[in-house]
Amino acid sequence: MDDRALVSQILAGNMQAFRMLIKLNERLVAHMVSKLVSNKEEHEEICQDVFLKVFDKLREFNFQSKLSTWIATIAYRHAINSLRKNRLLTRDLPEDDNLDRLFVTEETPEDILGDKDMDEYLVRLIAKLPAQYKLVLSLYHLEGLNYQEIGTITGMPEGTVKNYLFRARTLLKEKIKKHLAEPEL
Amino acid sequence: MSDEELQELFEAGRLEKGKDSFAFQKVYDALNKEPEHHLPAGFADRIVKLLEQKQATKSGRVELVLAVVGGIFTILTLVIAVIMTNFKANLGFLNGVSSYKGVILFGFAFVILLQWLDKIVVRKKESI
Repeated sequence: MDDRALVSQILAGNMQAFRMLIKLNERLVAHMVSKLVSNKEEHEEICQDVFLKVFDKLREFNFQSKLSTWIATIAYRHAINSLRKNRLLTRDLPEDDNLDRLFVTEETPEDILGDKDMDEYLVRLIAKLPAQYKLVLSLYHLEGLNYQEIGTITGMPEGTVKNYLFRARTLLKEKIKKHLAEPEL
Repeated sequence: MSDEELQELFEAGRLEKGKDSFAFQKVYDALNKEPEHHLPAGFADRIVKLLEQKQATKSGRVELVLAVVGGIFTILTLVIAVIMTNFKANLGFLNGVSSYKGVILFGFAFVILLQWLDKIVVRKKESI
């Protein structure tokens, strides 16, 4: 079922269609919110509020973007607002040039050697990135969205999205590079 | 080659030799992995149930508002009708039934008795 058919069914009062909309988009919303909110209960509550909001605002959807992009925009704004309400956002939104300073790990090489492998270490490094960076990385790498779509969701210019991606990946690369053995290529 | 150029090559699916490329390969692999952030199995059903409850409450509220508005209009119509028709209540019919006071009192007492029986026998049984 395409976006138009799905939306018109929901607006006609078909709750089965709305159930389908949730099932189609819950993974995207869950991933997005998880990048901004770490508390599990709060995470689920925000996801629930996002879909209730989607239902209330569905009449306003004008098909200028994909339905999933519109839902992701609502999820992003709702999560950001809830973080602002709880005053958790300010320290998590770095200025453009102080990412390196914020992204400091206190791990020693011994800690890293304690990990099962480099992948685990990388997962921990990614989790320590500022929320906005994690979100952009997730939308690009896991949801397969392009720069423009990520820009629409987050309200960031495309250049900023691209910059966040490059900087985050470079930073991660630099962090693991010193602990990697020379590859046999 | 700069990090940006390396990443662009990576995006294009072209692998370069060297430690930087190898490190980027590791980073891309980790970023493309599915994290464990799933919602509970009945999440969609719960939302739909919540919405249905919300809609039921909303329609109940609408019905209440309509009933109140209807009541107000009925009273207004009655008042206007009384004013326009110069209606005066005539209670002369009570003179005719004044000789059956006992029957009327028995009627009231019987209705009260039925209500009382209903309360202590029938409703009690239903609640069990």
